[in-house]
Amino acid sequence: MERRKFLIGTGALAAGGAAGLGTGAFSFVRAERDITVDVVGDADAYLALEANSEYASNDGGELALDFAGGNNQNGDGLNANADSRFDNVFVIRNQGTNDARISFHDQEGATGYSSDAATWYYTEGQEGQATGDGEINADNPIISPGEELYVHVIFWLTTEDEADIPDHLGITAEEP
Amino acid sequence: MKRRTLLGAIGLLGSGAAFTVGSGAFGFVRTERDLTVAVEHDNDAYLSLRQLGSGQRSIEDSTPETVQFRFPGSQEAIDDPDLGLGSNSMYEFEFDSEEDDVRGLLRVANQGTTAIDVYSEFDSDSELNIELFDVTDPDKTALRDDPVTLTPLEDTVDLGFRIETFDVESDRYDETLTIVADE
Repeated sequence: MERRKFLIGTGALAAGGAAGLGTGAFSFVRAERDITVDVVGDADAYLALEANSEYASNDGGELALDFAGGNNQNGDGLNANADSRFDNVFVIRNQGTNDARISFHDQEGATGYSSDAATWYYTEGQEGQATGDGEINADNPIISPGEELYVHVIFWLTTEDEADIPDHLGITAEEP
Repeated sequence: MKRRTLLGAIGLLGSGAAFTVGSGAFGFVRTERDLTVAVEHDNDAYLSLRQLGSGQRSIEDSTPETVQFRFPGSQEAIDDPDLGLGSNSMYEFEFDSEEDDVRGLLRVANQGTTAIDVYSEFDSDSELNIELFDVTDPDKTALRDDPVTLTPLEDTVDLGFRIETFDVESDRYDETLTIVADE
């Protein structure tokens, strides 16, 4: 049936009319578009993470923290039953174009920081030290493009267990 | 049976009527007709794609113009050739690099005549993952998990990019992002 209608319709169109079938209507479009992404080492990334002590390194591109005697350190690790402070361990620099609010997390792939065995602090300059002021997860400091934070840490092993020290540090920068 | 019927019919037709055999029946037809197609710039196409922002993370290029994306944007790369995304990270881009008040990098509009669901697809030989999300969605749900419905000539959606670089090594990745509109 549909076929006959087509033939008849074609005859009519041949008389001079223009073909118009549901003008502008479409039921499916699939558009493929180019996208280029540059993945770089941490020191060059939008959220730059740069080693600033022998307890941090950018070997292999990613920032890695080592308090276990690596990186040609003189000691082999933390003192037991002691609170240990490390200043200016690494630097966070905002190389993006928007302000960024910083927070740390201790579970891979999840947000939140629950460890009481390690507290992270920040200052705007290298002269700073880890103190009660300037705690990262208490303040969630905001850094503007071009600004940086120096990160310090205290490990509390007089009151906490070594097993509670996180083995992963997630760093989030989000729009304030 | 059919043949006898046919002969009988022909006999009758021979008396002067026009020859018709099983009216409408045919074994093969080939007709050639004009077909006019216009391939438009993305802005003007039925599925309108428009770049947002001026920092060149999203641009319109080629002939006809199609939207293209680059992270970092071209201007960022000129200012800092070493800049890029860190590995083992998730980035969400809602703004272009030069723009503070235009939210989104891609605007999609329906210039057809029926409602469509819009989502994206991404497949790569690398571990790179790229998604689009509605910048007005507080949850930033990926469109491929929750397509946005656009009615003709009324709705638009402004989209941001989520790029995941887990297990992705430092390198330049030239990929294809597919934007789908489905009735």
